[in-house]
Amino acid sequence: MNPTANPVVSPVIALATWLSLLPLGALLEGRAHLVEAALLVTVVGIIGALGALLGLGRGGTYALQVVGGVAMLVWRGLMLGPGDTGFLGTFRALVQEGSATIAASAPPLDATNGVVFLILALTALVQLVLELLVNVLEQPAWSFAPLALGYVVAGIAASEELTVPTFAVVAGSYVLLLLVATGIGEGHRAARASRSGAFHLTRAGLALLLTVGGVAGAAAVQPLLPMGSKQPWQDTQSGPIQLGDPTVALNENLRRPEDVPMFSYTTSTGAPSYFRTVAMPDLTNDGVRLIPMTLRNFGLSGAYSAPGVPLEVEVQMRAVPSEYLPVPFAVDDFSADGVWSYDPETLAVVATGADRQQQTVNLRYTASSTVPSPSPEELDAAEAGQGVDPITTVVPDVDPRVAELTRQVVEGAGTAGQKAQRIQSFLRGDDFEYSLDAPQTATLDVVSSFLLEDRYGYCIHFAAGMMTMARIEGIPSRMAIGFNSGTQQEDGSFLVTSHNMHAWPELYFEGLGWVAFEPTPAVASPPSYTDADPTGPSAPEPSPSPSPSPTNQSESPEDDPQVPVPPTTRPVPGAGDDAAWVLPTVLGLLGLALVAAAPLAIRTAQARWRLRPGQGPAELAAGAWREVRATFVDTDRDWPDGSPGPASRAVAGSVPEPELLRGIALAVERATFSREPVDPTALPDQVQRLRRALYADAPWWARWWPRSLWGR
Amino acid sequence: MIRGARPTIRGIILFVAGAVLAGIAGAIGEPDLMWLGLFLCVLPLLSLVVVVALQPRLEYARSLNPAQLPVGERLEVVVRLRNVYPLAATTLELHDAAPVSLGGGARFVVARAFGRWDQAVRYGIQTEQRGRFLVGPLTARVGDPLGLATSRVHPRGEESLLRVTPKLWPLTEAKRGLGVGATGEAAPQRIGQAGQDDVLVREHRHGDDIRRIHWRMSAKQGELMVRLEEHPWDPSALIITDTRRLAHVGEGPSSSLEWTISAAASVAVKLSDDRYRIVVAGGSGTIYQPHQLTGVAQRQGLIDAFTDIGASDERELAAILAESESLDATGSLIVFSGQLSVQDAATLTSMGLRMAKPSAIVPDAGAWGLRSAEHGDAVRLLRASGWAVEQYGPGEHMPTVWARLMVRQAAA
Repeated sequence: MNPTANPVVSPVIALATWLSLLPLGALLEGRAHLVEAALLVTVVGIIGALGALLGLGRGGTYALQVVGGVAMLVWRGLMLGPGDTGFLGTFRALVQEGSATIAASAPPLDATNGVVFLILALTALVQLVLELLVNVLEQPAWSFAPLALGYVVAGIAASEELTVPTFAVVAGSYVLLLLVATGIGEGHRAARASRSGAFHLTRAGLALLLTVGGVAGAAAVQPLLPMGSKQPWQDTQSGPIQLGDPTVALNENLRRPEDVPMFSYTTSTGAPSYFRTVAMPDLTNDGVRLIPMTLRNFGLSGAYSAPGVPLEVEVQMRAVPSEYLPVPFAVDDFSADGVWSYDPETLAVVATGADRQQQTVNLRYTASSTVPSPSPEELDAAEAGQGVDPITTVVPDVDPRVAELTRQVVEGAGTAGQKAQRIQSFLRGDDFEYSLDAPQTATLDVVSSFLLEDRYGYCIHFAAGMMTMARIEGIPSRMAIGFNSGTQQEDGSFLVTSHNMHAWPELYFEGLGWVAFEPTPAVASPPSYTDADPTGPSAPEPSPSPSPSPTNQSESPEDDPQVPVPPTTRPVPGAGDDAAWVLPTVLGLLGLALVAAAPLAIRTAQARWRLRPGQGPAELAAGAWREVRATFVDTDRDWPDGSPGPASRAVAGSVPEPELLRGIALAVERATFSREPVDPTALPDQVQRLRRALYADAPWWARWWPRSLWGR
Repeated sequence: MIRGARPTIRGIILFVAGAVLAGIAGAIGEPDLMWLGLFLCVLPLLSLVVVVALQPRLEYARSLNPAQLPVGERLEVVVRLRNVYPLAATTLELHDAAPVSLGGGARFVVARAFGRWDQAVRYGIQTEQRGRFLVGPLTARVGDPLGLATSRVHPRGEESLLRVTPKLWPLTEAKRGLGVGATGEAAPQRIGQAGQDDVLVREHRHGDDIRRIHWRMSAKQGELMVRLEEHPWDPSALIITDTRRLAHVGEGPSSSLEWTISAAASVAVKLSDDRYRIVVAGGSGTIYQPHQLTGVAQRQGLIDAFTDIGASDERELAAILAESESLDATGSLIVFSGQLSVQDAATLTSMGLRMAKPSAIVPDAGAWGLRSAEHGDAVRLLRASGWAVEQYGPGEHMPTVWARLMVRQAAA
């Protein structure tokens, strides 16, 4: 098929591929990926060179290269991966590990085995696409796209700009590839001077000059052009987001005498639901705190999975500014105006737009959640869960009597679930009293005295107390802040006011996930899956404390020690959202199909045009002969010299249907040279028959990539 | 564009892709990506500069060996190319144009850079068609090393004229009896033994000049007798070549028209070499007049005339007689014709009355697939009028046919 394949091209492609990986060094630590990639590209390049030298033909060489590349990839994958998970499991593990590293960390990444394997796969892909473009399809101009892939990825993902020398390397490799793949002309009787070596050196020198000039020109022109703002799709503040301490708002709202409506909601089941804004896992000596969160924009539905009951809510906020979106735990999806991110650990939904605090003002939104709701038997049988952030199991330096008390409370309980219920019942029992008179913070000393002596407080104390006692027993726990169910209105919706703001603990169980508990008495009934209250049903209505007198408790929160929460990190875009990929993928595939079919369509139209009826015989003959020539070029046959008659004789040996070709040639000659009117109506049919015969003898892709369209 | 330079499709693609990439990079505020886009834009522009600045300045001289040859033979073309611009460094693709019937010309590549150079290139042309052709001009396409820009260059030089003559068969058979002495009369009477007036006479015929009457013989015979002039040897011949399109079958080099022309040319050249004066008629009149030329000069003129003959649109051979003054005083008549009708045969017969030993070479109806029955009748008519008629088939060896004709003529 291609008897004069240039054996230099494949090694140059290998070199260019390897060079195109150099910009990725800005994103990675270490050079392990370069070494691995060098091995891979060398092997595939050598296969290509050998194929060209041995005259294997384009398709055969390319198939061998694909096989070689895949084999190298498999071998290195088996070498790099964990050796204990079986053949497919190794690759799955590598890919998962690499993707997780890439998604979770910011550049520069650690070059773990998974990341190296992914880069190796990228290298193989780039090299095989380059081989396809340059050797098989003979369109080296488009090779800038795969070569620039590494550079583009590094340019977008890295925060600092790439340097001109890095760019020069990529540009140089592209020009080198173009130089090697471009022939110096088609001349059947090529008269080559004895100095063709010097000529090629000159070409190389000129190409080098072109590269230098191009790089210099680009670098010189770029500062003169207008540039937009950097990465506008992230649309976030350039710095980290400061989140306030939620307990401050909690204390404010509970102590304000006016009951300000916050929002109203309706649920899909008609039953009420708690709404949560954020969960605080850090139990320190100075109180319960948030930890820095890594916010994400996509992938909410897959971030947390635990069994539960699906619930949809529709919420209408009042004019209440909030940097969190109240949603029932555990939220799967929500639809709200504004820019929101979420924390994959706690499933808190945070406003990240330009005007963050105002995003919830008068906002109407919907959310769907999976509310944890185990059966009492399941809870009784549950054990403490593993695999969560260890900060949720840290037992603070609490008074040893608290540990003793806890042991007493849970005595006789077998499983963690039973222990938790014991603690909740203990706190809801007669010993404890709800009162807003207690200190506003939940420091360790306050919690200790609350549990041991005072035994009165409000939601934060009960929640912090249950958190502490649960951690002593080894159950991971965190404090959730939000709103309890609110009051039902006549139309079936629920109204939530500022006095409904609440804190409760969430405990983590094996197989059940984070489960909410309600240790605070006089606010709401305990959850259905726990033991009922030992003393009669408590008041279902949330009511402020019997003595809401602002005596010592000042309304101004500025007296309280405002400990600024450690800043959260920048939101990082993660993996794609679930249903949103379908439509673009379908459109993309359609577009690809159209683009792929375009050359075939154009060529067929051209053939029809050339053979159209209603032309004069001379034009028809000329068009028919052009069409025959074009078909020869398409099917990669040599086009003989001379007028039609001798030409058809010259190739009679190498085409199918030589008689048909001879007949066509004769008819064309007659129509062209003879001055008598000649009837050429049989020509179009003959030419179409010949085309079919020639295509039948040619590779399948000759139809889809007609080279005659490109003038070759 | 400047000096004919323009970007190739590849260059345009790169430019557009680079512009799009630069635009996107500007919109998302990434200067390093914009470099990439600008580089792709700048590269074709630089290539254009290379093509314009480093173009060669070419001159050439072409020679055809030989410049005149019979159809079907092969000639050699040598082109001597010279570059006078020392900074030329582009790829150079040359095309020496030629008409389609000569194979469309030749393409070749010259790989030279930086410096003045001379290069000779040689290629062959296989001729298939008779006629006069211009070989050339030489054009060149230059390109840059990356294939992003191209330009057309026109080297300085002339086109060359090629004459493809009809195939000239070697006729070794000596022509007997044509044009010897007589002007085509019937066999003369010899009156008396060796008398004083040893002169040849024949009976007077209507139209003979009164001054030629031999009165003494007339008194003896009782009939008017006319003296036979002893003309000087008048070696001349009239060759009629039937070039009517209607009369011929076949297309291209294997048609009966080409065979006829080739046969007529062969005979004309042979006779010219034997120092005959040849007049060639055909089509709508005279094709060739000797105009006092004989020998080698006449030969070249004949060959030129036969080279340029094309098919004519006449319907009857009588159209040749439209210019009949020049056709009178010639010695013998040879006709090379296609398909004949009876009318044509009558015309030929009347022409042949005044000529010596008229002969004709006509196509063989059966072998050529001629459907007309008139052709056979015409041949019979000619033969009955004393013509020597010989038939040829497709692609037949002309000297063989000629030999047969000579035999027939000698027998008549």
